[in-house]
Formats: sequence, C-alpha cells, structure tokens
Amino acid sequence: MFRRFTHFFAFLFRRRQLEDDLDEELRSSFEMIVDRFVAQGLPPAEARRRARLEFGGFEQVKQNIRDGLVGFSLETSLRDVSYAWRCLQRRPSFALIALVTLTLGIGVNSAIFSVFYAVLLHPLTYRDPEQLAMIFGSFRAAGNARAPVSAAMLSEIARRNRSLAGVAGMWVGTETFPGDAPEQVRVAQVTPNFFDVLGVHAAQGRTFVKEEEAGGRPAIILTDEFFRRRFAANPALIGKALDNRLAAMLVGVLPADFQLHIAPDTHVPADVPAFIPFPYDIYSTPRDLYFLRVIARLKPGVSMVQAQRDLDRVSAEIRGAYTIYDAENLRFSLASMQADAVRDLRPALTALFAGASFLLLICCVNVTSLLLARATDRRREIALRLAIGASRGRIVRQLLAEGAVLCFIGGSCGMAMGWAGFRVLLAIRPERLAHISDAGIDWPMFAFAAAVSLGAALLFGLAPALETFRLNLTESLRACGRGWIGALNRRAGAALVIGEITIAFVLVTGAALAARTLAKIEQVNAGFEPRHRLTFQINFGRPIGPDIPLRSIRDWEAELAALPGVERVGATSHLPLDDFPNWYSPYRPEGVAEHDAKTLIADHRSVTPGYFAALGIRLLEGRYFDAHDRADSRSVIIVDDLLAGTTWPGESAIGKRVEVEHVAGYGFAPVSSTVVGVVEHVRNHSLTRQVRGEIYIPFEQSPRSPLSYVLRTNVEPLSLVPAIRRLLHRRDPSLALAKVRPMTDYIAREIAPVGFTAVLAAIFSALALALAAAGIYGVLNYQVSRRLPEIGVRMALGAGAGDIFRLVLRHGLALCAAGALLGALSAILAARWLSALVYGISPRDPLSFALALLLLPAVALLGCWRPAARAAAADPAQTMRAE
Amino acid sequence: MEILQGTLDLLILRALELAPMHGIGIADRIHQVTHGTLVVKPGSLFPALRRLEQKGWIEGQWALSENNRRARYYTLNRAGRSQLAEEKRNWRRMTSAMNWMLESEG
Repeated sequence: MFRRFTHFFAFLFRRRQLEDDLDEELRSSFEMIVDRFVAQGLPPAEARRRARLEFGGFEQVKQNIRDGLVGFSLETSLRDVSYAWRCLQRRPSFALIALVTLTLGIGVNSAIFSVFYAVLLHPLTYRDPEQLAMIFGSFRAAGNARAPVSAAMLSEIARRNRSLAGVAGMWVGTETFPGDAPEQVRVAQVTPNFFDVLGVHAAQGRTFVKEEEAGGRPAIILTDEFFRRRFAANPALIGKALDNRLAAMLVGVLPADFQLHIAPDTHVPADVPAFIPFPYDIYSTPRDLYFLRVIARLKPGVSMVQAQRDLDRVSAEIRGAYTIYDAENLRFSLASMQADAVRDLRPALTALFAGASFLLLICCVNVTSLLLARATDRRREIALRLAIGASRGRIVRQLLAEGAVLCFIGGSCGMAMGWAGFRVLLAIRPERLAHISDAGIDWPMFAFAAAVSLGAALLFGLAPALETFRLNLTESLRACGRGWIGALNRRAGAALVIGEITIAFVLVTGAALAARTLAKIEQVNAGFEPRHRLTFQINFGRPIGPDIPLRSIRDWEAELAALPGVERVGATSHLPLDDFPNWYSPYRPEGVAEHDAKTLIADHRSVTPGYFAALGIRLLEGRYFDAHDRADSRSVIIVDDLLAGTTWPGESAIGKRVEVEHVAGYGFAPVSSTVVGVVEHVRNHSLTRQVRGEIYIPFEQSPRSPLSYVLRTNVEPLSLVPAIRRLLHRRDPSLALAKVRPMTDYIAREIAPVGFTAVLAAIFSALALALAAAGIYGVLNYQVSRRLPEIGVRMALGAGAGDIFRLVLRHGLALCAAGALLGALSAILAARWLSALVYGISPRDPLSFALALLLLPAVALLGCWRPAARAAAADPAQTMRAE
Repeated sequence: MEILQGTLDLLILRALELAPMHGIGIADRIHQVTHGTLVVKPGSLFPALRRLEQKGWIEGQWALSENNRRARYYTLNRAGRSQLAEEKRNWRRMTSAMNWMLESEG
C-alpha cells in the first residue's frame, strides 16, 4: 500500500522527469524498430516509414498513458478546473449572474429554513418530546375550546385515564424577592410531578417531591439564568431557605437550556424564572374554578389519536359523575406540545418558507436559462473538439468541472450569505421567536438546506448540459447550432421567462398584502391611547382589604399623581395585551335564567377610578368610577359597547342590573351590580380581534393583587422610573416594580411578528423582481444574439431600427403579460390559504394586485431594454457577413 | 489476434519472469512465444508498462541494449512475482471455466 503511495507521489512530483523518460523511451523503442527493418535490408527512409506505421503517433501513445494513470488523471482534473475557471473568466457577465443567482437562492433558503427548523421542527429539549401533550378543556362557561380546567377535572383525568404516563397542572402568578433590590418575577405554581411529566431533571439539587404539595414543605426551583443573576449561582444556597415571602427551601436549579414551550394564548409565558408547588390544596378549590393548564405525557407507544379517544371516554365518565360538568357539556382536547407551542407562528413561517422556495425556483430557472444559453454557445466548440479526437468522457468531465467551479463558489457564498441572513433574522426577530437564539443555527440542518438548494439549482442546470450530448456531431458542425435554437431554445426560453414572471407576481402580491396588513394593524383603534403612558406592575403580596388597608392603596396612587410630569394615574388588575393570566367570568343580566347565563362570558377587570382617563379609554355613556364607589357603597360596573350592544340591543345599558363575579378568597362570588357607564371596547388579547365583552368593577369593591399601574405623562415615560422606585422603596422596601414599560411596548410587541413577515416578504419580492429582470435579460439577450442574422435580413429588407426595437420589446412584454396573467390566477387561488395572514383587507385585495400589475411590466421593460437596443443597433452588413 | 481485455498485464509479467527486458523486447517475446498469434502494439504496451510500474510490480531502469541503444529495462520485483502467481491462478480458473462452458453438452 505504502509503495503505491510513494509511486503515486513520485508521479505527481517528478512529472517533468517522467515525461522526459517517457519521451526517451518511446524514441529509443522507435529506433529499435527502425533498426530491425534496416537489418531486414530495407533502405533507412523506408524503414522509418514502416516503423512509424507500426508504432502509431507518439502523442497518442502518451495520451493513452496519461489517461491510464492515477497521478496523471488527477492532474487532468486540476487542469479541467483551471480550464473551467478560465472559461468562466472569459464570460464574466455569465459567471457573475450565475454566481449571484446561486448565492441568493442558497443564502435565502438556508437562512429561512434555519429559522423554520428552529421554530417549527426542532425537537423540544425534553425527554421523548413527541410523547408530551397539552390538555385543554372545552365547556360552555369557557367560550372556547382551549380553556384551562378545574382541579377536580385534573384529578379525574389522572384517576380515570388509561393512556397517560403522567399528567400535571400549572398556573403562573407573581412573587416578589425582597432585598436591597426587591424584584417581582413570575412564579409558576405546579403540581409536584410537573418536572417528572416534562422529563426534566434538575442540573443541581432535585425536582419536587410529593410531600411538598399544598404548602406541606415550601420548596422552590429556579432557572439557571435567574439563579445566576440574582443569587450569583451560589451552590451553598441549595437546600437552604430562600429569603422570599414563602420562606421556601431552594431544592434545585434547572438546566441552562430549560425552556417552557407553551402557546402564548394560555398565558404561560416562556420566561418563568421560578417554580413552586401549589402552596394550597388545589383539590379543595371550587369545581367551577377553571385555572389549571395541563400537560400530559403519553404512555410509550400510545398515539395522540388513541390518547384523544381515551380522553373522550374520560370526559363522558366525568359528565356522568358530576351534574355541573354535564351541564357544561365538558370535553377535553389533546394537542401535541411541540405543535401547539408554535401554532400561532405556523402560518406566517410556512408562508415565508414558501416564499423562499419560490425564490429558489426563480434562481433555478435563471441558472437553467443561463446554462442553456451557454450550452448552445459551446455546441460548436464541443463538436469541434469531438471531431479532432477528444473523448466524450473528457468533455463531460470538463462540463462537470465548470459546474463544480460555479457550485463551489456559489455554494460558499450562499452559505456565507445564509449565515449572515440568519444573524440578521435573529436581530430583527419578534420577541415571540426569542428562544431561537438558544438553539442557534443548527449546522447539519443548515448544510442540508444549502445542499438541497444547490442540488435543485444543479439539477436544473445539468439538463441543458446533457442535452448537448445528444447532438449528432456532423449535423451540429454543419448547422452551427442554428436549427437547434430555432425550436427548442426559443420555446424553453419563453417558458422560463413566463415562469419567472408568474412566481414574481405571486411574491409581489404577497408582499403587498403583508405591507397593507401591517399598515391596517398599525391603524387599529385598540380602544386606548398607548402614547405617553408608563406602565408597571406591583404585587402587594398580602391580600388587599384584610391585610393591606384600601386607604394605603389610595394614598400610593395620590403620591404617584403628585410626581412632576404625571398627569393622570390609574390601576387595573389586567393590562390590555399583557400575557398575565386573563380574568374572564360568567355574568348574568337581570331577567336571564341562571342556566342560560352560563354561556355569557366577559373579561373582568378590577380598576381604580383614575384608570379610564389614565389609559384614555373613551366614555360613551354614563360616567367613569369615582371616589364614591367604595367597598361599602352600592355595587356598580362599567361595561364596554360590545357587551352593551349584544346584551341590550337598541337600549341604553345605564341602570341595568347584572350579576357579576367578585373576587372572594381563592374563588369568586356573584354580586348583583348596576351599570353606571359604557366605555369603548378595548382589545385586550389581540390588536386584530374583538374577543369578548368587558366588565369593569371598582377596585375597592373587588380588590386584587398584583395591580398594573398606568401613568399618563407629559415627559418621556421611562424618565420617571427612578423617582417612582425611590417613592416605592420609602413606602415599603419589600415591594418591587415589575414589567416597567411604556404602553407603546405592548403595541409594538403585537405588531412585531406582522412587521417581521412584511419586511421579509418585501425583501423576497424585491429579490424576485431583480432576479426576474436578470432572467428576462439573460434569455432575451441570448435570443437576440442568435437571431442577429435574421435581424440583419429584416434590416436589409427595409426594417428600421425602431421596428426591430419594438419587435424585441413586444416579444418580451408578451411573455411578461402571459406570466402576469398566470401569476394573477395563482395569487387568486392562493388567496384562500393566505386569509389567516391578512387583516383588514381581502386576500384578493385589488390594490395589492394592482401594485404587482404595475411593477412587473416595469421590471420586464428593464430586462428587455438592453437586448432590444442591442438588436436595433445591429449593423446588417456585419451580421450577415458573420453568417 | 486481439489481446483479450485484462490479459495484457499477465502477458507482460510472464514475459519478465525469466529476465529483465525493454519494451520492444517484451513485445517481441510475446509475439515469438505465441507463435505470432498475439501482437502487442506500442499504443497499448507502453501505457501498460507505466501502469504496472505505478502499481509497484515492475521497476524500470536505463541500460544499454544489445545493439548499443539506451533502453529502459523492466525487472519483475517481489510484489510483481506474487501478483503474477495470483494472475496465473485466476487465468487457469478462468480458462477451465470457459472450457467447461464451451464443452458442455448443448
């Protein structure tokens, strides 16, 4: 083996000497044959002639030798590559367009695919994540099919199911960590088996045990990030009581990559830094208190469908066992945790992925048309080389070498662009995609995407190259490639251009729809004024009313109002567009039977009198709450116009009586109240949807903690924060400000995903237009150069430059018109599918279609202009002579 | 007669088994020993020699020929000898297989 290696290298490095040896050996052998003929008595001249006949050509023998040897064939490959490189250099515009096209196609695709993969396909970082599922309740009081469930339901599911290995419940609240810098954070309250069901082990310490349930032995688990930031990752703290209000023992720290993956509409945020077992016995809460989010782990080998069937049986049993759940018509629905966590992102990301794929398709078309043109150009060269004795294998090798050089450079540039593109996407990604950064770029997947893109481009590119080979040698030499382009190439070129325009049309309408949707959402009247509003949340820790006097809350609000720069102050239990668990309850207007009222659900908000004016919620009728609406005065409510309009159509809501739920301990109690005002509907959950009616209750009649404050300011909102912190510290050093944000942040966070989609769609369509223009230019330019003789004839027969110019332009624009027609049809067909992504406009929005109809001819004109001008400038005498 | 594909290596190795030879000598020897049945043309002889040399079975050295020309003489080395033995075995198996096939009854 070693010997073969040394020979191999000897051949590589001593090539010069070997060539000399070979020459000399062949020459001397030739002389020997001559000698032999001379010895047979032939005259020297005749002997040499006979020897030459017998020997054959020196060069041919040498070439045979070169082809047969490893070292030489490697060298031939290197020579092929350098020849390919020179060929590409000779036509820099071809090489440049091909490289830019490949780079764009591969770059955009690998970047988008990386995001697509990281968000939708990357397996969750739990043990056997495919077995994890969410269980939602569906019952009349919930008003939707994705409701939280009661503790009684959770225990019944756990007891009666046959398909689940474990089922756990959670609820997310807030807790304040006191100290020099008190901090209020979200704390998830969970059943002790929560981490076992998820399949997550503590990185340090342990997870919860049964004895820690219901405040039996207060315990807490922190995320790695929070443990580092707040406790400097001090390992001595594990097993010790943390200095928080619960005096819970720190039993464990989660792994650094731990992350919750639960859909945002469940109000379980992704960045919960601490977990505790429920500090009270959840199973003693009322059966109609629906608050638990449920995760389940399927038994091995059980499919989602089987588990759903099992849950259907469980819910039927529960309906039979509890009249209250029978009246609610209780059902459960099961959804894979992975799919459910990103269900809101799926349509937009899929659309972006489709957009990137369309872009790749345009790139492929461009590469095809370029290589087709190139192959036709080189037909004569190839035929000539075949004729003077080059082997077919040699020519295939050379064509492949050229493809390989293009692919290598285009692929490297594409990968680089894809990587840069992924970084850019990370930089502009909406908060909803924040967790991608943890996963980062998945290199094998990234390489896979790049390879697929490259493969697609090559496949398209190879076809014309192979086509070259089916030619008949003599025929193509004779025809100089003229007849061939006549039929195949012109038709193929036309099809490619039409295809490009079609795809570009679809992408441009898509981008226009996205941009128009963004504009519509930015104009949405959310029911409040977000500008010049500072918001923050305070968790008072102890129950307000019994433990904290209402007066002190009033005083605190007065202190805030007295700050310079503050115009109005108010507080609410739940800010609009916040991810804090929503409060929605049934209500019963007077005169409606209790049973029928079960389906009447409204968002409930406990607000201080100043809240409406502070947030700029418009009063439509009646009055706002005022200082007279106290705990001991008559119960009053304010409703929104949505609820008033559906409950008392055509009547004034003022003075109507409604039974609403007030907070009472860990549950709620119905209280009969009088409507004193109607305000404009506030979009609490989404800028694009009116979810349900709203009922406001005076804070002092139904106190809740935490409270979110809204300050209307006449200075930059965040500039007030230090003063507010000082004020709060003087008042109670154990309290902390949380979620300190201008109200505009909540709006921006809602808009961000739409903006992200719109920006990417705009980039895609701009690229598509540029590539389509390049594609049209390439095809037409090529056709013009092949038709120059014909054009010459036309000119000789009296056609003017203007006629020729129009001829080419007309050809290009006709293709564009056909493409636009197909594009419009495809866009109309795709509209149904896009309806989930547009807001405020029809997916067949005429304006968006008009934009595409306007832009594409302009692009086509741009692509046609140069070739048309070139044709018009042709000199008939010269073109005909060239023939 | 054409030389069967793949048998040229065996012929060359066999020719070199007795003594080192130069290219033309090898061709002549094959011609003589096969009573003129097989003719090796330079166009295939020299590539084969280079191939065998690269595989490390024969070694080439410059020396003076019988009529005082500088010629490249090839020697069969140890690896070449074992290769020759191997190829002989293969060839015998091949020929007997061919014979069985050709002489089998209809």
